[in-house]
Amino acid sequence: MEALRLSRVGLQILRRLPNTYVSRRSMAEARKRFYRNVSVAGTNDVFEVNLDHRKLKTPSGNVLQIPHYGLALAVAHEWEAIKDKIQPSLMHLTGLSFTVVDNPHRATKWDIVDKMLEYMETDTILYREGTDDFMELLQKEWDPVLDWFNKKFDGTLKPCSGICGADISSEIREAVRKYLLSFDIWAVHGFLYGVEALKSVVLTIAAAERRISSEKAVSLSWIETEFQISRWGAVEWAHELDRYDLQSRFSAAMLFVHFNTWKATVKQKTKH
Amino acid sequence: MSKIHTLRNLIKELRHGLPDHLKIQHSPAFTYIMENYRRNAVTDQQYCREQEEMDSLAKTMVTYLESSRRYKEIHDEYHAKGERTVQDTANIVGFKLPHDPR
Repeated sequence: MEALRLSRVGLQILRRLPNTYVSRRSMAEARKRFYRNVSVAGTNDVFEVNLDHRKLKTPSGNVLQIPHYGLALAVAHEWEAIKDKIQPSLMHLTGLSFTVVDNPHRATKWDIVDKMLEYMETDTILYREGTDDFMELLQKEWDPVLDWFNKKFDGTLKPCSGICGADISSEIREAVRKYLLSFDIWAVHGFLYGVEALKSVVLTIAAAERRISSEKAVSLSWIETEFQISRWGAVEWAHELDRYDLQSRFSAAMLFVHFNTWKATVKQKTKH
Repeated sequence: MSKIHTLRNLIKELRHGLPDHLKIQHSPAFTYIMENYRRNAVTDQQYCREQEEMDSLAKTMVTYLESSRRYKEIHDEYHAKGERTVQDTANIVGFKLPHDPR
């Protein structure tokens, strides 16, 4: 009896549905811009972003405090640039700052560097596979960066193919670890975000050291797609979209590294 | 890209993000950028580490603002409107529908 009643209710619901199917996603509607003015306030060491007169807080409820004025302005600009709906997933600088302040995984600097080093065996520019003309292109584009990297860390990284990862000697691993650990926690988070975007420690360090621009680093990591595009053509809503996404994520990571190291060099100068 | 070109692009992208009622001259980000450029402008012809660093930071910022903006534009164009009609889909790839689809 109960089952019959339920099925009748089900039928009624079905009848109420219109004939056309409307696809709907059950995600919360994005929040609208609820503030008018965005400003940055703070002293020499710590800066906060204010939305009207409320302080911008992280998801865990901490007040967002940023150690660099330029970076705070850049975060504020992300909030200023919102026309209608707030889409946190596209605000990379804000997101990264939140991660550093909240530290949701309770990760130490050491943990983060470890996580990055895991990417070295399968570093994008060490892993090569393809037809002869493509391999030639890779050699031409990637080898200068790899040579630079080997020189900087006094190592002998070589590209590999097949299913085994590249051979990373413990000397170079420790050299890279030491290099990465020399940065502060803000910059290290930037490094990790960059490595995760490009899947390449070499390219990320080259861009962080200003050996190549961040745009160039992205296009180097993207080289196979570009090669395929040159043969088969580009699709705007897939290729272009992916590329801009990658580019904005990686440049956000580099901004994080550069803003936070810039301050250090300026400080050094005033000391002498 | 020359340095002045980078600065121009940076200002352009910055202006793009500001709401209409705000003047760029009143934006603290604009003041900050100009202050830094002026401070480093003294040694224009010489190699100056800080100037190079500032220039590359500005370039990265341009890349960031520009690609985020383009991403949003393409996303809004293709993905933000929900399901399309057959007609719209055909238009995107440059096909025409037969006059009587049945």
